[in-house]
Amino acid sequence: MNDAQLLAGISRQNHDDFAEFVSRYMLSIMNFIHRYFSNHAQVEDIAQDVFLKVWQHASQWRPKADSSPRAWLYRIAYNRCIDTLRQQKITSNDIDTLANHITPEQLLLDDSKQQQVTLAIQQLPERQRAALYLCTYQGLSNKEAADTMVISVEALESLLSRARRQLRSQLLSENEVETDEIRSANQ
Amino acid sequence: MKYDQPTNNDRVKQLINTYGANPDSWPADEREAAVALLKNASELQSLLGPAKELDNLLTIDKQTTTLRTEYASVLANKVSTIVKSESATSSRVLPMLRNFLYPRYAIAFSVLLVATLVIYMTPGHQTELNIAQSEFDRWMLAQVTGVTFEEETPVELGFMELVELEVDADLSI
Repeated sequence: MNDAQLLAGISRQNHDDFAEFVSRYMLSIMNFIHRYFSNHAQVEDIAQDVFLKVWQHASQWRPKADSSPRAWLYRIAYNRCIDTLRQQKITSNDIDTLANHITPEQLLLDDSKQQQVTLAIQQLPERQRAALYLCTYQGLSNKEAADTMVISVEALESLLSRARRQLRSQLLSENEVETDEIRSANQ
Repeated sequence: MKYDQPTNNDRVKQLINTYGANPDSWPADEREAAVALLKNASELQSLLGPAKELDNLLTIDKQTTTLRTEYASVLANKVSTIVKSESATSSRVLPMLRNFLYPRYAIAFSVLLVATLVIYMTPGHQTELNIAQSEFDRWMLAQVTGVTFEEETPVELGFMELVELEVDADLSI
């Protein structure tokens, strides 16, 4: 059963379709929310709220050629995240420490580099960050990501390329500096 | 979503700068033409290195900030249960509400409401509270003046009015 069929079932208050839709998207929606909020309880609250909205408003989704159920779902989640951020007045510089769900395998990764990347992404302007999250991390198509953010594909691509340019200049130059430092230390 | 312009070298450059070095990340309907152009253009191929380097860094962040599947499945079950329980509650309440709003009951309720209002607003209507208040006033008057007020008094009179009546009665004696 595809997403559109599931949403149609949900709009008829079919619990099985809802359970299927939730289990299909819960992890990816939680990961998306987790990009904005590191607090697990908050991620859980927002994700729960997003899916309850899906249950209540599924009938509002119209199967148009240019709008996918996934984009509609992400739009609900994105708007909810932005609303919560505004309520909390969190700026892009308010970065929580890394979430406490890091696995032992992940600890093996270069921690400083990982923090640099996280920090650099967090410092991007909000809409560039959202575009990057949706396309690079959530795997949405350019059309879906643009629908989610209610912008054109061209505007989305502009946000993405600016985000990548900023990250490249920040991260790759830092890495080069780091590599030079290691080289000079070894000599 | 097909980009308005035909795929050319500039567009491939734009795709690399926008979506990264992996053609799988590029828009599906432009991918084939873009890869074909990429194969024959060394200038474009030189852009892949830095783009891939950034892709690798972004992948590190992707790995470290991904939640566990079981965590999501617990919440998925929770949300489904909440919706089911809410639906069960509404399925009990709604029929009751519908019965209540059924015209026969609505008419009966309206008649009862109007009758109650008419009775209550009729002049001289005595409620139990009025009567109790009047009896209390008589008793209080008797305690204050030492005279039992035997005469039947209008129940709507307040305590001060009863005192005035008593004073008038004394004067007339």
